[in-house]
Amino acid sequence: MTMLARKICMIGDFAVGKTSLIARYAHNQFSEKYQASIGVKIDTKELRLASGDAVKLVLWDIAGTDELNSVGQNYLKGAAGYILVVDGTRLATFGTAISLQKEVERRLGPTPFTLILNKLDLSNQWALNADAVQALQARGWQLTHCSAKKGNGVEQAFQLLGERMVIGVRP
Amino acid sequence: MNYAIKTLRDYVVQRYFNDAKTFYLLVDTRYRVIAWEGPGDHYGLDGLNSGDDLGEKLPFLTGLDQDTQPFTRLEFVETPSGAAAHLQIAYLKSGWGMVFMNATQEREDLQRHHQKVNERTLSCLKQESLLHEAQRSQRILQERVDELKQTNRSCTGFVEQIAHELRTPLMSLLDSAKQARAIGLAVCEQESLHQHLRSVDRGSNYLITLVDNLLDQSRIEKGQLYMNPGVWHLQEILECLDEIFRPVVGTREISLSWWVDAGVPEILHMDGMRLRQILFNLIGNAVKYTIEGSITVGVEWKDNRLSFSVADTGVGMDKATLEKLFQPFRQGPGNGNARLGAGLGLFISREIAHAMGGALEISSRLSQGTQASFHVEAPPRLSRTEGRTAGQPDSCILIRDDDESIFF
Ligand SMILES: Nc1nc2c(ncn2[C@@H]2O[C@H](COP(=O)(O)OP(=O)(O)O)[C@@H](O)[C@H]2O)c(=O)[nH]1
Ligand SMILES: [Mg+2]
Repeated sequence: MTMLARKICMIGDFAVGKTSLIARYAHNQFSEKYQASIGVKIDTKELRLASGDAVKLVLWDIAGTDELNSVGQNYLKGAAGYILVVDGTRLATFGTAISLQKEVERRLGPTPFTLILNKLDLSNQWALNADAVQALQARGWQLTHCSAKKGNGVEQAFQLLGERMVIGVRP
Repeated sequence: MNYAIKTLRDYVVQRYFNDAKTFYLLVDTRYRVIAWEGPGDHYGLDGLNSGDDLGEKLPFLTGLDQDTQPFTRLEFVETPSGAAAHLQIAYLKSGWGMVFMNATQEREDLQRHHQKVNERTLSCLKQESLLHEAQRSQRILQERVDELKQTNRSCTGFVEQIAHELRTPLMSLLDSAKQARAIGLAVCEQESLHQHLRSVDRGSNYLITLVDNLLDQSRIEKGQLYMNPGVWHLQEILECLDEIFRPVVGTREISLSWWVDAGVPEILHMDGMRLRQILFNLIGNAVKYTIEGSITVGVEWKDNRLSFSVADTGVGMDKATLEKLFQPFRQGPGNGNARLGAGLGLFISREIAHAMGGALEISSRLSQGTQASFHVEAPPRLSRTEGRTAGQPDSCILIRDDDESIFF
């Protein structure tokens, strides 16, 4: 029997670490060098759920912009979940994530998502204030602090979303 | 054909579409190959056979069956070979129809462009955050400076208060010593008594100078060093100073000479007490640091400006000492003689010269001597009756001692 497959989109401003998070999660790799992404690159990774079942995550690394144009919107088609990525050292990317979430939800309808606060290793340059983060948590958003560079939090974030997506899909 | 259009066509079509490498592929709903045509190898889809499972190679189809639209266009999709393709996907009853069009060159060009723009934006952001950081540090520093200034102000206030409180008892001590000396001189021949009294005298004189310097210093810090100009005979001031220093230089191999230019008016409008204070400081320093040789005081007057030079052939000083000379509480050369308060003299003198509308500077060379020059504003007056200042003394009271040791 073929494995259950689920499409996940990485959403967020440019250079927040979408590509790096996938590289860390799917290949356990990291590169310091910034390489602007164009279009979409797709990776897959098998995830074992708490239930013991496996699900194939189809990870869409979508080139980052601060808004989705009509072409960008096509990339979202059929997504079962998405990950909003924020660069913790750039306050503006937090606002971008919030406005992108609205656009994505308008396009996809209510869909499971999680938010990654990336670049945790750069805590000395951290720009997000705790209040803003808490306000989102109060709204029921799931937030994970991650570092694609060091690897912390990455696995958990994908696991979290994986579990959320499958709940209710399978009996 | 229009030349511009031709260029456009050649550029765009040749660069992006001539090498279209169009590839058609049909798969069923479970991603098994039905039919294909075109250069599939370009996209990593070569060696196909009917019925092959392409689920792994076509991950972008995942979830698309949820879409209600019959066609989907995906731009710049990375294919299994790494080439980029624009994809036109049709959802058919039997499965999926796909058209691949080569977009590798286009993606490369776009990538280069975005790389440049994004990097520039990132570096601007970086600069901005560094700037913020710098501004924050500056704010913190400024706060620290303000705090220190506040501390300094309260210290100044404290020193000033103490100085004031010390001055009265010191003055009466000095006065008593003077009287005791006068009486003692008349009734007692005993030399040791005179010596004791002289040393009390000397000590209180030094302390009063110190206290006065401290008071001046705090006035300067508060910006309250006010001048009290009146009408003065310059000659009287110079004579008074000569009277003070003559006995001191007399005990050593030093000559003290005065060169007063013929053009110097007799009567001038200025703060004579303060002028005398500067000269006292400068000549005092010259005496202090000259063991043998000469001390020459020159005076000139031009365009309401009274200029002095005090030159000695003393020990002089090096550049480093010269640079620190005007810092309050710093000593000149010969720290063995260091006394608190004496280091204030030059600083105060310079501030007084400023307050009198002039300036003071010092040049020196080690072992060759020192030259201090300053000038002040001093317009001429015809006679004293024009206005005699209340505070002006009749006699030479700037220094209350004839003992040379205060200079050492
Ligand atoms: N220090 C640090 N740098 C990161 C991290 N994640 C990504 N980066 C760097 O941030 C830049 C942008 O990352 P990238 O993954 O290309 O961002 P994308 O545009 O969102 O795909 C690259 O230079 C990465 O090396 C992280 O967790 N820590
Ligand atoms: Mg990227």
